Amino acid sequence: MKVAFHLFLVSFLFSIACYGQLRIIPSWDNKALELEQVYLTENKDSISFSTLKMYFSDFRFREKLSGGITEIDTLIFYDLADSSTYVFLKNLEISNYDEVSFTLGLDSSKNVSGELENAYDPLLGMYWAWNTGYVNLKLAGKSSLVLTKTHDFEFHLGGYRFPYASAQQVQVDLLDSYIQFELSLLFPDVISLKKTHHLMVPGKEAFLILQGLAACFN
Amino acid sequence: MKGSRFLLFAFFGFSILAFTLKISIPHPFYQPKEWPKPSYNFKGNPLDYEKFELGRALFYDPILSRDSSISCASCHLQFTAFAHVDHPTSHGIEGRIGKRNAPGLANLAWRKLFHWDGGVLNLNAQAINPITHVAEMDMRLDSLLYRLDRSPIYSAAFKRTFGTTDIRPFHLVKALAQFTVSLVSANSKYDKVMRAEDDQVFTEQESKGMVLFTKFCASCHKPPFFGGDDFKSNGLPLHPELLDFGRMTITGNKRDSLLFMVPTLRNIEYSFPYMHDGRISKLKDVIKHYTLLDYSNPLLSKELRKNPVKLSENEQKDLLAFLKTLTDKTFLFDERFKYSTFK
Repeated sequence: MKVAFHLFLVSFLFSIACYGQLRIIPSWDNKALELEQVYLTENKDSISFSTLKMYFSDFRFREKLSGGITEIDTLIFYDLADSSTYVFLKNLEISNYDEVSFTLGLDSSKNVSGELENAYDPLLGMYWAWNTGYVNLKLAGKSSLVLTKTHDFEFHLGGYRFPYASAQQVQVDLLDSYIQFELSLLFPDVISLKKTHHLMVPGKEAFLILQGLAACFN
Repeated sequence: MKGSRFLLFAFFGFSILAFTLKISIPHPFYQPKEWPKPSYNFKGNPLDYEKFELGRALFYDPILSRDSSISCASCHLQFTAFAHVDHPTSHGIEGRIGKRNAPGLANLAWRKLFHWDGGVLNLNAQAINPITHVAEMDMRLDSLLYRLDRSPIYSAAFKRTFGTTDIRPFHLVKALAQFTVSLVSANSKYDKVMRAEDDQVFTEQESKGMVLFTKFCASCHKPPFFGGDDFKSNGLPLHPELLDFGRMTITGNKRDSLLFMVPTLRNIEYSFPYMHDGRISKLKDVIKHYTLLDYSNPLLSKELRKNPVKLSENEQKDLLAFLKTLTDKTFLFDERFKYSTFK
């Protein structure tokens, strides 16, 4: 009941500002996630986040009445530290749709497009210069699970080459105009911070973590 | 009265002519007739002489490095084929040393992959690597854009050429690419002989060398570019300190271990030292390297295993003579590519 109230509150406040527009709300235990706020995992380990950045692309919306599909081939950059990135596809009246699918990250064609403007701007900190392409999702912070002096963890998750093309398909019902992204589901099953606390290269590990992250949307 | 009217007409006529001449200065990029179409996306960065001049100025300006000590030209000198003569690996700020040889720059418009490991997929984005790499310029892009914005010369130049007062990374790299894409080298003795131009012919030794080149080298160093966009193992063992595994670093595939980009041989006479880590100083020793290879090594590229390079001392000299015909002095001393007088 309490959980539902928190989400309702966040959703309500946001709705006043931007009714009818799609937004994604990262959460921890169904409360809107805040940077640098200390949370507890299921096993009572502490965790806080300093960075959450990600890309979304290739949206497909299903219309409520006709069942028709509206495709929007675009690249959206989201940064929890920058509220101007919270709401996107601003011209879309989200209440007309009951389902959306999208890509968490960028597919290979977008990775190699050579675009460096707008959402592709290297200044956003998602461009991989040494191996042309983009990080699909960046997550960093501190946790008592990390057994180092600083307790820092940092994940730059990306890669578009076979067999670890790591961008993930996500499909969710649009019960409201926001999509919840529940990060508590990651620990400890998807990310074991005791084993891996830094990952900055493409490969199987990045692929599997992004797969787990895709399952956190609902 | 008549005199003053004539002067007025003359003034306007001269002004129009001057303006016309200014905007009609041709961009140095050109397409050699016999060559395939370039890979570079010119639609995304149309040739523009003023942008070329801006890119040229940036190429030669140490403003790009964190301590303003090195420019692109520090490791890519025109008269040495835009390579770093006599330095095995690249030099960065504060005396930092990289782990790869700075390759020569030429005919980049026809390339799809860049760097010894092919990790960079387009020419525009390539410039970000040396600017931000800790062993090279170690410069943050946001700090660099701030610097450019604060510079009266550059802020005015970006406004004039790109129509922007908000310089973004794509403006910067497109300006640099206007310069680097223009570096076309297609005027060597080899090219002239192929085009039957200026009554140029090979000497007997060069002709013999070309036959040997075609037999032993051309399967990897394919004309007209003599290299690029392909990765091979030339039998060099792993450098014990640099520990550079080449292409595998990018693909994560063990089969790509110790594969490196096939470098262009154009202007090879001037782009010493050689190989991906500059470990061979002289061109004659590069040729000798291939004659001394262990051809039973299964890691060697198949072109070499199938067709071992067997050359007598004299044949090695013949091959060397042919390789020198790939020197394009009009390119190496082209005034349009020299240190900029932009300021």
